[in-house]
Amino acid sequence: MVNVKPLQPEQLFRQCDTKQFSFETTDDLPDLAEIIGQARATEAIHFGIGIQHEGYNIFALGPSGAGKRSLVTRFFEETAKSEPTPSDWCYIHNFEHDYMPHALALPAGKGSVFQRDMEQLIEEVRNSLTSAFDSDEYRARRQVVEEELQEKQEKSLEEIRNQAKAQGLTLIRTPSGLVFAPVKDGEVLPPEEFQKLPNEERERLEKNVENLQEELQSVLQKVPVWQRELRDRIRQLNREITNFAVGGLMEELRGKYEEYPEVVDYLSNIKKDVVENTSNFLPSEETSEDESNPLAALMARARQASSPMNRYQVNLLVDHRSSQGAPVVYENNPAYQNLVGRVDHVAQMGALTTDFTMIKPGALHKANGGYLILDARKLLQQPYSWEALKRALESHQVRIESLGQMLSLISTVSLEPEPIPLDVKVALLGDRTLYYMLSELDPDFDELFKVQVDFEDQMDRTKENQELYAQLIATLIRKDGLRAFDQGAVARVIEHSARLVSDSEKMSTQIRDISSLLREANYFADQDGNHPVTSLDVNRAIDAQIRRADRVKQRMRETILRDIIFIDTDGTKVGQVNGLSVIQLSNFAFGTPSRITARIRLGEGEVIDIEREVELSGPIHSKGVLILAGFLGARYASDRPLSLSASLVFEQSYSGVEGDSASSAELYALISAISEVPIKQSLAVTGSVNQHGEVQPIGGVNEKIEGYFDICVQRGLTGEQGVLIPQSNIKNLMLHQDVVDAVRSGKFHIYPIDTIDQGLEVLTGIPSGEADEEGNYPPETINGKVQARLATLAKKRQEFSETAKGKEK
Amino acid sequence: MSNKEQPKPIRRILVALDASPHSLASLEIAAAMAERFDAELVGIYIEDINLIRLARLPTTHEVGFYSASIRQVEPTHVERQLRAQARKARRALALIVEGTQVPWTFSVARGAIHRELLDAALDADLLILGKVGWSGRRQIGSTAQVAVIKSPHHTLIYDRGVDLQRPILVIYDGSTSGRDALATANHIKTEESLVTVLIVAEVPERAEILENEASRWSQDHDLEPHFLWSPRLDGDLIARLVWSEGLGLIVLPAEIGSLSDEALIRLVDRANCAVLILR
Repeated sequence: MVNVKPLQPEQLFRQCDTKQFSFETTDDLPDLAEIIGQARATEAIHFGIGIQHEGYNIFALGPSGAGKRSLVTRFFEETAKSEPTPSDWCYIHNFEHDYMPHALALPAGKGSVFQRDMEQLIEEVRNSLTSAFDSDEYRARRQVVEEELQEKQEKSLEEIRNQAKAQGLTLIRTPSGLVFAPVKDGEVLPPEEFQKLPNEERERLEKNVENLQEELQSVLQKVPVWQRELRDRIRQLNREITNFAVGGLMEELRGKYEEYPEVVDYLSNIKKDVVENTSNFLPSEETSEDESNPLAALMARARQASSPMNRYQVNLLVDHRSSQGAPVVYENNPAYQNLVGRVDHVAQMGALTTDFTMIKPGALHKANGGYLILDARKLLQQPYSWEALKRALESHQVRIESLGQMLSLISTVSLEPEPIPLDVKVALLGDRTLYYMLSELDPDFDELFKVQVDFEDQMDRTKENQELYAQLIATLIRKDGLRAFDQGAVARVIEHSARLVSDSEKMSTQIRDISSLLREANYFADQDGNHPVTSLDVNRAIDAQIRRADRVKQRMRETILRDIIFIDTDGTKVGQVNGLSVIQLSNFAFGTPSRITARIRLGEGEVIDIEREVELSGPIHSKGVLILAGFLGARYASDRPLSLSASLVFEQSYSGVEGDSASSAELYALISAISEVPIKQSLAVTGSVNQHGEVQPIGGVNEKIEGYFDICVQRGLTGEQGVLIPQSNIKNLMLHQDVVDAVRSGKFHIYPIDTIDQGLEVLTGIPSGEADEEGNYPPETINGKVQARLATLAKKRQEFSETAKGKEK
Repeated sequence: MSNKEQPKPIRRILVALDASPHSLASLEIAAAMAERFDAELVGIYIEDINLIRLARLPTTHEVGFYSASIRQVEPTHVERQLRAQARKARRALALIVEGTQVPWTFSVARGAIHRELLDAALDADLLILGKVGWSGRRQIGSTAQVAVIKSPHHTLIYDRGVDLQRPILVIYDGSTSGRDALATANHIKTEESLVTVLIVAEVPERAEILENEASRWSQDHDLEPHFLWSPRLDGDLIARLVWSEGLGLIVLPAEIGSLSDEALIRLVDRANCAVLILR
């Protein structure tokens, strides 16, 4: 009989030895200068930052909370410090096509200076022009021009008026025109008197009126021509005055920016525009006689809001006056407009209007010349953001387009700002699934994100690494402003870190989980007035985390203790075994036992998995069950038909079952059912099995053991209870202290199992037996009983078959 | 002179409205004067009988002022236009007095404009009207000319763009009406207004006497004018002063010196600001 020894308490939990620490509290430890446990990721980031070729953007992949963002940000910031500060970017008016504003680059810090200079220039131009146009010289010259037209007009009308007078007529102004009428004593001849005039006289008057009307018509037709001449002459005068008034101001500024040809061109265009549009700078000549008209008032306000003076402004899009080195930008909300920028609009009289001063930058503008960090999931959740980012990276430019324009949904004229050249290194942060999905489904992805920075979930728990981990803990404590942790508290955090990855030889690199634990332990220490934080505070924080999350676990346990779910923890049963499973709810996992039973009858060698038949099992579970049939056939019926039909079931399982970790338990139940040897119900089993009967490792071993242990504790530990686990899972054990204590006092046992035979012996207390040279097992052993039962079944089947053939004959 | 000297009281202000830009603009100064003098504001729109008559003449045609097209003038059309103008004038008057305590009325008369206006002015202490009407000419219109010469009481001829904050020029020749002009200007002026007194005297000695006289009056009435002197008063001088002093209002006694009607009209015509003629 194979002698399986239960594990010793020391094997159930690998303690962190505080003697290795040379510090008293974390206050004695310096900050961690290096990144621990992420050698691959660190190397990849260095590579990603260093390589300057196209498409070498970074995708940092790893679970959430692994510290991807802080690591990438830290490396970016370190590099960016020594890199040149990129240009400021401005948008300025395009004097040829005002819907296509020009983008203008100026050295860092110059943008704001240029913006201020332009504001000042326009103010000075306005003052200068106001003075010039208010001068006696200008007024006198303008008056002369205007008088000339007025005189010409009045003279023509006066001549006609005199002619009319000579012919007994007068020229009268009506609300909409001019009328000739016969007069008598200075008043229009009444119609009755007109009728009394002799025919000849009436005809003469009518003829005269007709002639005068024609003359008047020709004079009035000339008025628009005269007015146009007047406007031309006034415009010419304005140009002359403006050129003189603003020439000096423009030249001064042109000299200041002579090394920037684009600015010089822009200033020339401004001068030309100012000269052509002098009236914009002068007080409006429009009268407000119709203020009673609300529409007119509204239009006046609208004109004021869309002042033509706006076009001389400088929209400083990206301002690096306070920047040192290249920018590092993290965009928390990578919506389309936050990424590529937007053009705002204002409502005027029911219509939306805009101009280049309403262009707003996006994260790509702000990060241009430096580094941009984005959360991949957030980016993909935002409509069109992913496409916009790819387009910008492929084309090396940021083009501001509204979604309406991009999708051709809106035909309203809007702005088409000149695209800005883009030179940015982008780092996307996301989980592995996202990375592999993008890589598989988006053909552009691998072209644009060539640097894979894969973050480790765990690191080796060596002595050196534990010391570094202590330093990491000290760094996180200081960063969060927490009270110091003593040696024991640090050790407890390290032990919990190992538990988080379910491996006594590893530690978690999930910085977020560790930070949370530190903060929560600090909270309890604060409540109790502990300083420094002790291991008791850390334990309290861990217990509180479990307590907050274990409502479902407690309800399930209650159903077992109240015998609603049937689980035996003592006695023996044939064909029945306690399996163990793990339930994962968000970040919290717990184990619970399930009763697995097997029944057999005469059959043709099939093992029926009831879970699979009713589609309550996943493919891996089904695979495990099929392996059982392979094992049975190979071991017990290699030279004769396997003449049984077996059915296996997870009793009282109403939801799906997945995974093969119960396959060894199923096999034990099956063998017990075949051999009719009872199984100890005080034991529970976990572990998968292969066709050779070897027990293989499974996940969640700690939760499974604790799940069964808790039930046993509630019912009272008998000293017989325990769990069979795969031998290869020993290194994963980081069990709770109460389990360790129970094992130490001999009240609970953990059996490491290598083979099914070992498991059978522990579960039944009967030797499993070894086959002789002819393949026969000793009859008193389990395997012997199985073999004998199968032989009996085979014989019955043969007899049954012969009887059936005889009947057919 | 007594320091209790007050200007001739103004209780009723008649403003002639023909709905032209000039006349509507004069409403602002009319309302301001009404507030200053606690006076009633009476708006009047006169339907020109000549227009009504000529519309009934069988062969009357109108030449469009802007389109230059010739079209038949329909009597109903003219009537409708006149009614619309009256409504516009009334609306403008109502709007300008809105929010003030100024009592106001508005009436429509029909007849020969000059006659109707002078008849209406008999009941008013001050007549206000625009310098030009619908003619669009720069020169003073015929109605304003008639008012300048024949109005029985004070008359204010308004030119567009006038504002009472701008300097006020008072014409002073030592007569009783000259002192009325000083008192009226003093009453009209705002705290910010500068007042200039133009002494009209043929010789400097006389001018000095008049200046001293006006100066004393001013001191007694908290007025701080500055003084100019001219041996004569004419349109050219006024035009120059309006330009150089940036005048907003000229207060002019009608009986001053030996100004003929034509000279008075020319003076008002050349003044590119409001002129208040005191009678």
